[in-house]
Amino acid sequence: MSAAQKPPVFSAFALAALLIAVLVPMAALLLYGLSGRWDRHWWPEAPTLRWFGEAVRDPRVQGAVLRTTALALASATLALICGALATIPAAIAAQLDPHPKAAALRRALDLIALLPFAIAPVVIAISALELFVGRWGGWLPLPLVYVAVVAPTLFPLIHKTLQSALAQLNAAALIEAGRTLGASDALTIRRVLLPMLAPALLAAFLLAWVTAAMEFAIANLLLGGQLELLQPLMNSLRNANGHQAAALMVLAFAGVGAVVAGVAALTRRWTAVDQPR
Amino acid sequence: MSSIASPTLDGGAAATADAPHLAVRDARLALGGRPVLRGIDLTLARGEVVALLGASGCGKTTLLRSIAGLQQLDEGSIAMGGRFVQSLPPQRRDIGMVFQHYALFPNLSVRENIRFGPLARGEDAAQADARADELLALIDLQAMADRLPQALSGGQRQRVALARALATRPMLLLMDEPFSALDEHFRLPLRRQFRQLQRELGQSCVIVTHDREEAFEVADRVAVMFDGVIAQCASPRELRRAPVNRRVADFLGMFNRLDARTLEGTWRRESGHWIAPVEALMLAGDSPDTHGAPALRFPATLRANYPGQQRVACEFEGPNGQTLTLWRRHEDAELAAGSTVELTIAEPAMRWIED
Amino acid sequence: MALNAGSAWRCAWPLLLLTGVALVLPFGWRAATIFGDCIGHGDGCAIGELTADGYYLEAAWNTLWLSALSALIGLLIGLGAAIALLRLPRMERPVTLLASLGANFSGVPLAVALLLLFGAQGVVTVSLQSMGLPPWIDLQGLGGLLLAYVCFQAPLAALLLIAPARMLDASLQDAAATLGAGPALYWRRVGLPLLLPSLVEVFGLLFANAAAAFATPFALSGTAAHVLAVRIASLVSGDIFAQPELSALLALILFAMLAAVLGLTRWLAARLRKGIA
Repeated sequence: MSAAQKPPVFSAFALAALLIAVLVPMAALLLYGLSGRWDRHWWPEAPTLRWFGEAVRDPRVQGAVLRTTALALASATLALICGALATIPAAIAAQLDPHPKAAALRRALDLIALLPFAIAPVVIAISALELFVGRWGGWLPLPLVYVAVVAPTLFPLIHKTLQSALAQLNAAALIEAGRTLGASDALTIRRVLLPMLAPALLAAFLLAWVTAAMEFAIANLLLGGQLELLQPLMNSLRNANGHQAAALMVLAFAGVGAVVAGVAALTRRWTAVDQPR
Repeated sequence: MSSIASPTLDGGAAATADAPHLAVRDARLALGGRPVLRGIDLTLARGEVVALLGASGCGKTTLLRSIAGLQQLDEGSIAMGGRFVQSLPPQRRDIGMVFQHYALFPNLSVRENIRFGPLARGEDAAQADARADELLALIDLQAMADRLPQALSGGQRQRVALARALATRPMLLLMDEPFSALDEHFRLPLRRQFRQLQRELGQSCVIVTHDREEAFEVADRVAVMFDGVIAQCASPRELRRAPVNRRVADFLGMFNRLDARTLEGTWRRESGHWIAPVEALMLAGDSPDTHGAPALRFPATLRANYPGQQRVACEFEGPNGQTLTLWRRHEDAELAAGSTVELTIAEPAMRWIED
Repeated sequence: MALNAGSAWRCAWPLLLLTGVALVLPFGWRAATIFGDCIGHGDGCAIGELTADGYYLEAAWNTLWLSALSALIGLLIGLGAAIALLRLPRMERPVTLLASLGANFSGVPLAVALLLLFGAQGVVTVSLQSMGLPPWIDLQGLGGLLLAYVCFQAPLAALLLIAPARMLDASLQDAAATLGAGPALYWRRVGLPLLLPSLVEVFGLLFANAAAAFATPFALSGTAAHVLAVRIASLVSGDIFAQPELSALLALILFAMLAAVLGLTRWLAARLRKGIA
């Protein structure tokens, strides 16, 4: 890295703009959640922890948090299993096997990772609502439908996370070494590759969990009045009591922040545990 | 050379003690439409080391990987110890392989890396442990046995890769440029240690390398490869004495070459070239009395002097523009660039080869 | 079982099945019924309603330019920030963390925070009023939506551009300096052209992110938000009588828009990459 020079003016300004755009709304929310009132001056008044306390003790909130956590966990698990099963062998086979089918699989997976961007969550929710709840709602349990519909939207995240971890791994050489030592590919995967991918798998899982928990469109439209999840709850609370809603949002984001920080620490670990040069 | 028993079908009777450890017949392989192996024949006896020497792209690594089973041949056969193996996966061939960048398992300790092969092949834990201890002593790395590969230096990793490959007592050891990733400082001692070890163990070995010095020091026979064929497979001494054609002679880089069509008198031929080892080229004034034996004499112009570590290489331009190298010692008087001198090569040193 | 193209394809089946059933099936069904309506009997088709009254076309247009503009602004901020971080390596970890949070901080919490600051009763609005100045921005209008979009587009852009920016080897700029080129010339002739494929690709993703956004416009203006995502939902689960066919048609239009932009940007990025490599 060349000597740290001062960044050019434009980029310094952009960095500042970025920090403002991220920090100011969050700070405003935090202050609102901590203040008794904020409608008279441009500063908040009556600092209190009452909103945070009420938010935590509210049974409606607790119920929503529990439900959201559980459903998001299920979606993330489903997405991780299907996603890892697809991404990991595909990436390694593309390096090992010159057969065009391997490259075709990689392209197919890249396409599937793009689908949730092209088919917006609103559209997914409405379509699923019509088909699975409207037509077939009789014998399809709603939570199952929700989990199954949210899981594919988490695949792009998992795909990207696993691919970047695999790129640093040189998995193909390790599998070949295993073969020359007399080990089946399954054994090498089990004893060498999966342990090495463990941090990446965990990171992908955590990110998927958080993303699923913060989901709004599908939670709102598909589950509607039947199951109340966190984001829709926050939306209805804000009309009743803005301060409490703000407190709840701050708590939720503190949770998200903790998970994201944890994932960042994990990521650093697996980029630091280097390959033999 | 051992007598060659006719290879039995895959999975057939056990190898006879005399069967060659490797017999490749007419191996052919095309990758991406391009022919990479164009009819390779290679035989290896027990305890022999053969080096596959060639420039990048000549197919030597592909050949090694085909022998290992990491690549399937289009045509041809590979037999080990009398058994046809070309349709077997690597796990079922009796081989060990050392990769160019070692491919050590990063999450397993040195000991666990070495135990991996025996365990995978069904030995029990106690046996595998004993074998690992044996090899750790052999490569002198007992102190690092429980460390991870990242904690080791390049030379240490190379030794671990070797030990891991030898742990299953393979019939044939395959090595893909095993010393090229090392600092030059370590290459020489490590390859001599390896040669020592190989002789002690009597391990049959195929080594891929592009380093000529390495091939000559380590191997019993060197197979020089160009464009998917083996141009010549002979002992280093034989290669030095009689390279089979111009291309091999040029690749080995140890000869001065003169086109036979451009010479006069008794030296002239209709085709082919005359080669002589570099050390045989001398200044006419320096050469000893030739006792009447005809020597080749010609004028040449000095282009430049290149003082190396051991000696000075003087690059001359011969009478027909060809480049000739003369070795002089540092203490000899320096010749001026651009000067023309008379050079000579004694007749016994000259050898005719075809194009 | 050896790891090769065939076995990799087999391992990918759970994912293919999940995506097919949960994502493609409902959307495809809906699209098929629309096509059936339109091709079968022309007057049962919703296209008439679409073109008769410019209302929905306006929503589509809003989606288009809001997404493009917010993507562009976000891209500029993100790029500048990523470049600034190259020179300030110690800030990279905290800024990346903040950016991850910021990219997730969309929807209800962002809307509440912005309303708090810039809404009709917002802190900044009220303060400006007391000073005799007009409000800075109409949060319920499209300007407000743009501001909100930028608040989560910029951090996302920064996150996506940190890796490509890092690939701009520091030695390149050093080499340019020894040849007598100042920073501006370097960026114009070397830096930006090298970054261009990544910029194009990230623009596509940002566009898709904004066009598909439902939570943020919904949280800001409820069902009155005049973008496609909200229109699609409100036509089905709104207060007035439902118009599922029109909703399906709008969903198709949104899909077409997204697919076109994503496809175009990826193709363009690939072409540019080939030109460089």
